[in-house]
Amino acid sequence: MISKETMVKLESGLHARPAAKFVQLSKRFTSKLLVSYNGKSADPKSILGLMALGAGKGSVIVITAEGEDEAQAVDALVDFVQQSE
Amino acid sequence: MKMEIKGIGASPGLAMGYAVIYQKFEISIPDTIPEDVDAEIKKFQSARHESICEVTALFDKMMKDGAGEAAEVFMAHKEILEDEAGFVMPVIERIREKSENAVRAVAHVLNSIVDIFRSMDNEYMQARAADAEDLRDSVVANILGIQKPFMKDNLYSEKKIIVSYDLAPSDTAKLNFDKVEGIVTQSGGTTSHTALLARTLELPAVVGAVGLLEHVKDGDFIVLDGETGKIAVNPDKQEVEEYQKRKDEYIKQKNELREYSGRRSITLDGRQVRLEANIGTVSDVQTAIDNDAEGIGLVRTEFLYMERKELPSEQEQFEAYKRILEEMGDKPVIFRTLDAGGDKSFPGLTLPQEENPFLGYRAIRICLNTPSLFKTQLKALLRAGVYGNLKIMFPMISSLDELRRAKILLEQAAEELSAAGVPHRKKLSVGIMVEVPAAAILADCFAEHVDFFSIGTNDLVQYTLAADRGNPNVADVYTTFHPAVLKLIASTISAAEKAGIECGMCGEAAGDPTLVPLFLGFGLKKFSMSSSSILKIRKLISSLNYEECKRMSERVLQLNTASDIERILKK
Repeated sequence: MISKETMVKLESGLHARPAAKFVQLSKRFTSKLLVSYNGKSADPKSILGLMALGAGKGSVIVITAEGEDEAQAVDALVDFVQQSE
Repeated sequence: MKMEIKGIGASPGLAMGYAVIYQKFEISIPDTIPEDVDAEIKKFQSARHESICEVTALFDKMMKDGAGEAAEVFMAHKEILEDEAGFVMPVIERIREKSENAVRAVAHVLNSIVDIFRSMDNEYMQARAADAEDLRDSVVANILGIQKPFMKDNLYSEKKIIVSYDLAPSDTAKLNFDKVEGIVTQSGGTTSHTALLARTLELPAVVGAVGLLEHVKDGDFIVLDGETGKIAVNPDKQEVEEYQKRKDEYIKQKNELREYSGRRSITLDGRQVRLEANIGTVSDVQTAIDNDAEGIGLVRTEFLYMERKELPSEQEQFEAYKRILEEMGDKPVIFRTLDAGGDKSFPGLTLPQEENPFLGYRAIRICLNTPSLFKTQLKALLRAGVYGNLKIMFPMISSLDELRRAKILLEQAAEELSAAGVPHRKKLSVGIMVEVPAAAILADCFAEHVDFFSIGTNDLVQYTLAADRGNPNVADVYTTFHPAVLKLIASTISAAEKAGIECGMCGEAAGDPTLVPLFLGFGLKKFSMSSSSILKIRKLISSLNYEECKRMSERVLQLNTASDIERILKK
């Protein structure tokens, strides 16, 4: 299992416009994924869970992956939220 | 019945056609308990797949229509419909465990999502709540096997005017826009989805038309003016002919003006000026760009403070300012700091009731007295300045002391950002609005302390002539043609020129074809106006001779009455 803490740099936040793309990216990996923010966790393969998490710009989130492609998954998802769109 | 309705112009142009009313779809949840749970789940799944096909088709259609940003919404819709953990499983669970029928289960799951989004304090998520409702209706309609009623496509084969309370993204996407001439909605403002889409597709639209659905019936003949917001219902034949003439004229003019897009604003004898746009919201930037604005001469920052109880945070302001600056690239953008008071009051600011609000506590006077309010805005501006060509100007300056105090607060804001290690703009142009006669009279003095002037004609006229610009009883006193006003404008422009600083104008007069030749003759180099006037004025400038305008302006300054001046200029 791998976890990484990162800050959301996406201008409109992870919960808003970029959410759909984040979900599509997450679905490319077979590992079990989890995004935690503010004491809550959500499955990033579920757009509704991700949107309800409400991680706006500047939020510090933890991305966790467990499975065969866990390393690639965490790196790709961290890279995604690090973009500023 | 013949009548007129007034709304808000949301997308310019004249449109006429037959009303097609789109009612909001109302779902009624059946009370039945499913006998066969598996069959009920199957019903849900096939309805869901139908909805997925619909949104995919809408996505493709929007991409084809060239509305990429609107299309993005449907990508999210598809994800929601395919969301196993957040949508599909909870619905199946409710059908299986609670013996709910599919409609009730879908409504329950999506309604609770709607509530979560609604509770988020963020305009974007509020809109997504509407999306979730939209999806709920789509899946429910498919379960029940009913048609959502917004496809009355065959009712009138052409010349359709869409009439609705409001339009959801999926409604607008399903419309066959080939046959639609215009859109009218009862609710919504200039930044609503309807307004945005109408502008993208260049369809005339009026929003916020109160009383619309009460008075308009299917098939009524409607004429709408997307600029003034006027809607004529069942006008008589003569009126229709007049509108038709105006419409033809409008289209002809628009096509002619298109040719001036991308050109320089230069007179016959080679004097080049800049034509810029006045904007009042972030989405106005697109209209400014579409009309080839050479910059933004005035951002009315008040839009951030309107229709809300709490004041906008620094972060929220920063994001709005940044978007404007980024969209304008390296073109200059002049932000006017908060101009509250006068005729503009905001729920977030408690301002005293005054006998003479225009002569009272307003604009820079409020900001200097409330440094925290002012510094929050200044910090947001300085931070956003990293992303574009930021300029700041202070409104309602009447004394050097006010200017000095405003500049000190600006410096403090910058220092506080530096101390906190926040990236921000270090060097920038700072200017003032010249709209109080005192500032115009002392223009040579002010010119030594600022980087630019922007003449605000609306207030300068009302303060010079002591005539309230909104009072119809003194409307004949209020005139820009008054020699006292014109002398102040001329001397302000020449004071700027002498001091080697920029001078622009951002009042209504800057886009007035009668006055532009005069101001050009005075030596004005920057004209900022509503976006829709830019190409018209560029065409005018291209037909003028600067030296002639200069001679004409000297003659005008010899005249002693507004009526004489007006007569000469209108010749």
